Amino acid sequence: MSDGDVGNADCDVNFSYILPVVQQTFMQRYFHTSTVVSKVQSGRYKITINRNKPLTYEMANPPHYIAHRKSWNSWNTSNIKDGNRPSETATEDMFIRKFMWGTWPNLFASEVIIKRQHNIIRIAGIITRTLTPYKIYFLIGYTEELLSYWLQCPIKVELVTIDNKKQMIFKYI
Amino acid sequence: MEVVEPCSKRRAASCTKTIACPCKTKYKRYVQPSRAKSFAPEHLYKVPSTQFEDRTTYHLSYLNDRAAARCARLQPIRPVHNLQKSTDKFFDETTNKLSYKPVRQTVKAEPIIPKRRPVTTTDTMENVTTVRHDYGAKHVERPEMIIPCGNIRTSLAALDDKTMARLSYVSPGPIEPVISFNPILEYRPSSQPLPKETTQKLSYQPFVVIKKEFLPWAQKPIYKSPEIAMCGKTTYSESYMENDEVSVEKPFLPVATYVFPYGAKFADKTIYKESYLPGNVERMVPFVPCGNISISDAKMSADTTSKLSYQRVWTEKQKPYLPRTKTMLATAKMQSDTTSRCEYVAKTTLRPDLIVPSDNIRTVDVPLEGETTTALSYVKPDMIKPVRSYKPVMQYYRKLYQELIVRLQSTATTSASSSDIQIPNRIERGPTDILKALESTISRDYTAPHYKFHDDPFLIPQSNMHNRSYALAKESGRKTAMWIRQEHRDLFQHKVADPEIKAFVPLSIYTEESKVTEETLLYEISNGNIVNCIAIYDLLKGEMTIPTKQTLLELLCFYNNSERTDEWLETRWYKLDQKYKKNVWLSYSQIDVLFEFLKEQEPKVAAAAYTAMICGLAKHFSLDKALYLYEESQGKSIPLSVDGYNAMISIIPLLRKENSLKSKSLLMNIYRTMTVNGITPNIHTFNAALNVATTLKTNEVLDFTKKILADITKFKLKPSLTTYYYLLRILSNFGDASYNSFIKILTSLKNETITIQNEKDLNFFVVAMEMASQQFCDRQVGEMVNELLLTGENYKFISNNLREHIYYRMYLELILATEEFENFFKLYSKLVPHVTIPEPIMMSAILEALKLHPAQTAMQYIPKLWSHIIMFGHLNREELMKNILHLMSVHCKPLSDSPLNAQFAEMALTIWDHIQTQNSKRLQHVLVSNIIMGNIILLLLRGNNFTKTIEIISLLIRSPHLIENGQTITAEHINEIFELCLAQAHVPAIFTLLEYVTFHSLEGAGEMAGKLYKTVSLTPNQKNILASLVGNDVLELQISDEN
Repeated sequence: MSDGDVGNADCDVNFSYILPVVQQTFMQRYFHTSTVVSKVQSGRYKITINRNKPLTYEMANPPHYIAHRKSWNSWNTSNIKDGNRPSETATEDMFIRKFMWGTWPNLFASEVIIKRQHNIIRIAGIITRTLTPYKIYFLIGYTEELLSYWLQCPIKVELVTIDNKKQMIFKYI
Repeated sequence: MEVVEPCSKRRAASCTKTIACPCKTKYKRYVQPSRAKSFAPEHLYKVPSTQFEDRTTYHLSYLNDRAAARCARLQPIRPVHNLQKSTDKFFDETTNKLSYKPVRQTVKAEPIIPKRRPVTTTDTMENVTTVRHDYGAKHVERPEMIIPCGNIRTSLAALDDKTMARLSYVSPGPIEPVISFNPILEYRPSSQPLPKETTQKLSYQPFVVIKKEFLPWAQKPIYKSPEIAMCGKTTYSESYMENDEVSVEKPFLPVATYVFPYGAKFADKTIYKESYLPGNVERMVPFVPCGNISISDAKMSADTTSKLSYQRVWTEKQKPYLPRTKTMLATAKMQSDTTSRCEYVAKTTLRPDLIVPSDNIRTVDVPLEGETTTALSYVKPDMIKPVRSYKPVMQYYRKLYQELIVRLQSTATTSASSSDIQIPNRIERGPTDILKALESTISRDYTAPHYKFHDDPFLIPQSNMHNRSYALAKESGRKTAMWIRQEHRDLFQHKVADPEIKAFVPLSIYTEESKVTEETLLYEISNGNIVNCIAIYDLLKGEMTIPTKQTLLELLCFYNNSERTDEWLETRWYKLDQKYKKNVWLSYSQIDVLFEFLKEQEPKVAAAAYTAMICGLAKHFSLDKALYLYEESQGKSIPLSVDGYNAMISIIPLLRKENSLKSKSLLMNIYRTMTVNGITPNIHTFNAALNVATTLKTNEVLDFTKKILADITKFKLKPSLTTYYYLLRILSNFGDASYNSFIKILTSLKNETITIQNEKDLNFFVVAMEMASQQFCDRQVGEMVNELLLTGENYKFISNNLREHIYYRMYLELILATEEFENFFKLYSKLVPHVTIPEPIMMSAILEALKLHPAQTAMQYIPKLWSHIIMFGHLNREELMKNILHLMSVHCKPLSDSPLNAQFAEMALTIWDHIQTQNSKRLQHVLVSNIIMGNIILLLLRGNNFTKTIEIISLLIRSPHLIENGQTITAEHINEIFELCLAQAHVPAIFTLLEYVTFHSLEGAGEMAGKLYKTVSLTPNQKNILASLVGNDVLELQISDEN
């Protein structure tokens, strides 16, 4: 019984206060607020339920570890102060990566590392041994020559081979 | 099934029908044939005569009787009632109570209750606030308003008509139309009348339309209006009833309603009326503006608000600081007492004299070395050269040091320098000198593969074949890229590099549309692009100057119109030399046309043309044509240049073979012509002459060579490497007598920078090493040659894969023959596999040499050699296999309990597996010698691998053709195999061996059987097998003999 009484009383009280509350909310609507959007997601991987997602060393370290635990994928001096051709370098690197991805289909087990020194571009990476060595040599020759025609500077390809892509796994998350 | 039956029967059957059969035809009908009786046994159930036994195990096991089953159930085990409830009180002191005793001493802190403070007072609120109290009202007089007094004036003059826009857009006036130079089309009728009969008219004769025939049947009926009126009662008119007269509804007009009681009215006194009492207010007279904005004539007051507010401030203007005039500077003296002078008093100590370095920085007299990275990369150095330091040469001068001390100690100024300072000459440095200095610090790494290969375990080549295929594959990739660039040349036109790098730009293609000039041709000639040169030449249609034609002819003759192939490094490295010197000249129209034109010109031009042609023909071994042209030129008395004569001399040895001409007389003839024409011979002339000398007979060679050498000294020419090459070839005919001359040649070359001048230069080192190895067999000489090869850039004279192979084979053979094996192996491990990979013959020679050493020494080299043999793919080489198996089984036979036996067995198994895989791959079987086979089996047995042994021997029984020449395993091997099996008492192996022996009807089967019988106790079954293998009588005979 007492419960019912209280409920009724509450109802009455609430009803009498509704109007001011509504008015108040209208007044407060002038201030727009939202949650702080500062979540950083790029270069980080979500943990799976079974913790069975394999990560390479490069993937396992988020971007803030660059220069501490891992290194850059592009080495150049374009982006320092008064650097030379920064935008061209970026697009060329993108082009090189796409080219390598297409020319060496499903062979690269690591990122394509591009290092620029003077007028030389050195392209490094880890590939799997799915092709016979002479085919790899063919592709090396082809890549070096064609890219040097395109970028008009000497190109060197520096590869390391591994048996299996699983050898690249650093940890599971 | 068809049954034929007469019609009558049918008629009888269908007699009820009215239509009778018209004729006596016979009908056919299908009758179902009766089914054949089946012969299958009929299944019928028959009640068994005897009853089955009722008391089966099943029946007995499971009790059928339910009651009995119930009885069989176990009695339940009921719990005995032994739990008794205690009547006592529960014990009060529980663990919990004892552990946590109540704490009674603590006093509860009193709560601090907030005091009530009076919030409101009953008094009235104070009127005097802080603000009111502090800030009293100020009384400030308002400044008088300053009214402007009419000094804004408008201009009285009329507005100027010449606005900016008007002035800008002036009408240009009448413009004369531009005279069009288009041809004016004007029709003029031709004077001659046009022919009436045009093709059109003639082709299309007027078509006469034939009058339409009147066809009565084709006439359409004509419409006639109906005579009878149509019925008026249509469905439509019947369906819709006629409406009544439509009356417009009258609007309902509002009727006056009476809300109030009848006659009542609205009260006049409304609240409105009562609220607003009528006031007697005069209406405001509107201020009508009466043109009171007038421009006052009076002057506007200058005292504006602004002016009055901001009173003028009288300040004296600062005078600008003007720079002093020049004259003042000259007159007045500058003040000498500066701050620093005042503060810093001059020191009494004098500054020490400057010590200028005197004579201790020296320039190097020797020119810079040409050891570039590329040159070093393609070099196989042996002796690592000490790195040359480019540091300034520092020398310790005692005298200088003392002088320095004296100067520093003495404060007096009177220490005069005794020596004059000599400033060294500046050394001119090229842009790449510092790079050269840097790369000279790098030497060849013997533990890594060649720089052209990738340094990765998977990509390092293992054998000669790998070397070749990997290097060529890489180059093939580069060629593909080049092809793609050429195919999609429009995509590769972007310019990134500045200045443009020609090598990255696709080659230009000349078509009929492209504009070409003589310059383009000259440019392409300088590039050596033959295809383009020919294309441009064809486009120009021969319109060019004579020098250009001459250069083009020279280019075409040099390459004989074929594409250049010498620009690909690896292709050239792995290319085989052309062995047969046959005519490869192809005649092309361009060359012929050019030559025909040029030889008709003035003698100088003609001579050059003849020279080019003869050189080209001689290069491509077109001997007859060269000789013909030479004679033609001589007939015309056109003097060739020295190159032409050189080419002619160089083909003399080849001419002799075909034309049996006396080469010497021909040579003399050419000499004579040269002297007549006043042409000075160069070193190549004498090199060619030496080439002639090499073909002469031994008795006349020496004199002839001496003459040539005398000529070389007479003309003060420097002998090239080709000269030495030919000399070596001549010397090789004289055996050991030529030793001193050989050494002399080497020492004379030692401190020289050799430049490449001729293709034959490349043969020098190979021939020198061959002579050192084969002819003299002298370690010292070999080392001298090798050292010479590794100095400077001399390694470029190897230039070819084949030459490199021969060179290193000779070198290794020499060391193997002259040095201790240990020393040889040190060199071997340094050079193999990264510098050179030995051929099977070389390997075989090494193994042969190992046989001469004691087993203990030989043993330690076998593993490495074996792994190399597998790595280089030499398992197919029978000689090699024979040698290494001999080493393992006979020469270095390990003790029976040595672990080496197992390893050797494994190696033998590798060989056997290799043979088997080869057999499965090829159609033709690999034939193995009987010794190899025997050794393999022996080694397997020593390693206790009986199963494999049995497998091999039984395979040999089944297919004896695997051993070459139809041979069988030798008797010694069989005996040893038997002994080994017997020692282990492995009966199945012995049985297989006996089977082999009896199958091939070899001797000794009986003795073996007897021995086996004696030593091993056999089961009856085994005895039977033994008897069946060798025959019962033989076995018994053996047993009795033994007894």
